[in-house]
Amino acid sequence: VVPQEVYLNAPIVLTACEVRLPPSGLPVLDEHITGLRERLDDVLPVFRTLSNQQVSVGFGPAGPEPPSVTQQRVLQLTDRAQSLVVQVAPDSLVIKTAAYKGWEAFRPVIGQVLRAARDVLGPDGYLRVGLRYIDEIRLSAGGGNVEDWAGYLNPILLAPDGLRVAAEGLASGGWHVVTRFTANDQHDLVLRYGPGEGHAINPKEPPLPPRIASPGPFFLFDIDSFWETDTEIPEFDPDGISSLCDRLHQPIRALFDYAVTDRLRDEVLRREPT
Amino acid sequence: MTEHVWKTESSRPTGGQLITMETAPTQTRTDLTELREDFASLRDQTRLLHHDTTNGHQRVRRADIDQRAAEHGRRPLPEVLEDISAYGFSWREIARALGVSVPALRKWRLGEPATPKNRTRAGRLLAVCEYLTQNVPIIDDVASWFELPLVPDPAVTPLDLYADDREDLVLDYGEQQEPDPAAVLDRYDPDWRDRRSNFEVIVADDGLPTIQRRP
Repeated sequence: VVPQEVYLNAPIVLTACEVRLPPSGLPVLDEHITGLRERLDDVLPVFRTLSNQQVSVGFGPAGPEPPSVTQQRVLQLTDRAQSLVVQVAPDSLVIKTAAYKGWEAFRPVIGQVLRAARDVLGPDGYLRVGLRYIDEIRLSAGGGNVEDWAGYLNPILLAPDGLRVAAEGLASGGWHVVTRFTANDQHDLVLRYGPGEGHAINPKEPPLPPRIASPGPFFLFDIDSFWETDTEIPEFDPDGISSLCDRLHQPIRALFDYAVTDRLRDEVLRREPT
Repeated sequence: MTEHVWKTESSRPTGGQLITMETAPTQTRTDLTELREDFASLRDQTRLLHHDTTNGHQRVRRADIDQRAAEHGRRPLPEVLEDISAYGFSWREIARALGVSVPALRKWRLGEPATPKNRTRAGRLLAVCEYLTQNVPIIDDVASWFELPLVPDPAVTPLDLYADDREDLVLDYGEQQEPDPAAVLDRYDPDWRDRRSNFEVIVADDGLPTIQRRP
């Protein structure tokens, strides 16, 4: 396997792995927190509990019914830099980092969290596993106009802007494309992309990025590769889920590499971050 | 042509709603702030959706009844009145619904001419009866339903609402668009609670109903 190039100035601002669990209705207990802390203390020494509100809205013949609100305890574990966060709720495990150093480095963290979850929480299985990569691609100068991106991004990504030719008198106010690809019955990939301004991810909430980009124009490239079942619920097997993550990860880099040009690689991604 | 059917679950991306961009379609969950925003947005959307669907339904309903009423308006008036009567209405109730006297109704039945306005009103009443009968399965006897009070006291009936030109309330209540009688009466007359009778029926010590002044 040829190691993939890790860009010095990679545009990735968030990587998340979420394992969605069958909703047991059971809370996160103190003993769960203790057990998870013991097993994850070497990578995630800081913990806090959050009270998460769940709101259910139903529809009756007269329209929306009054929402029912339930409190849900969520455990959040972070590293000392707060760049790696694990969030444990009764129905999901989320591992997210703003300091992604490649799949080879992220995968073992996922495995460790999954093993700890198996030992402590003993989930009955899993309903969905997803890997998400969110990129804020920024140019060293410009980016506020579509023309600025020409030469840096695959023209396919800029195609929606071409519609303004037909919209006489209207200026392009940006776009946000959502495309879904299907690998098989259960593996799908959703790609969201489009120009943005400021930050796509709040850089002041954990996971914190190693450095905060100056707010300005960027191009969002958000890949969500996920497996989902609506029939059989597999056993919660950390090795099996890690292998599944390998498969989910497989198309991600190729998609990104197809989206950007060598010019972006040379002029932006391979440069030392400023 | 490809049919795009996206699973509901898949609309919740991995890790929930991570993106804060305004241009991003609203997505899922994770942090409390995002959750609050999600549900505030969901609440607003459902409210707007409910408002839109209700308005849309009312517009379609009005068009349906307008069309029926126009057709009945072109028919001979005695026939229209007989059709209304066939639903089980008394002539007195029909007169009340149309806002005319019983003798005036009798003249029309005998072929005397009515004003265009009264012909229109008769056609519209028949249209409303048809609409309710055909579209609201729980109303199997529309004439009796028109005479059933919404609440025991004050005994305001759908016929009262209709006679007072509140066809909209009659239809909303009939179709359960507004299933709460008190809410219908609030829209009809916000002071309706003050118009209750000074007397009430209670069960006395001997087990029989009796009337007493309200405390």
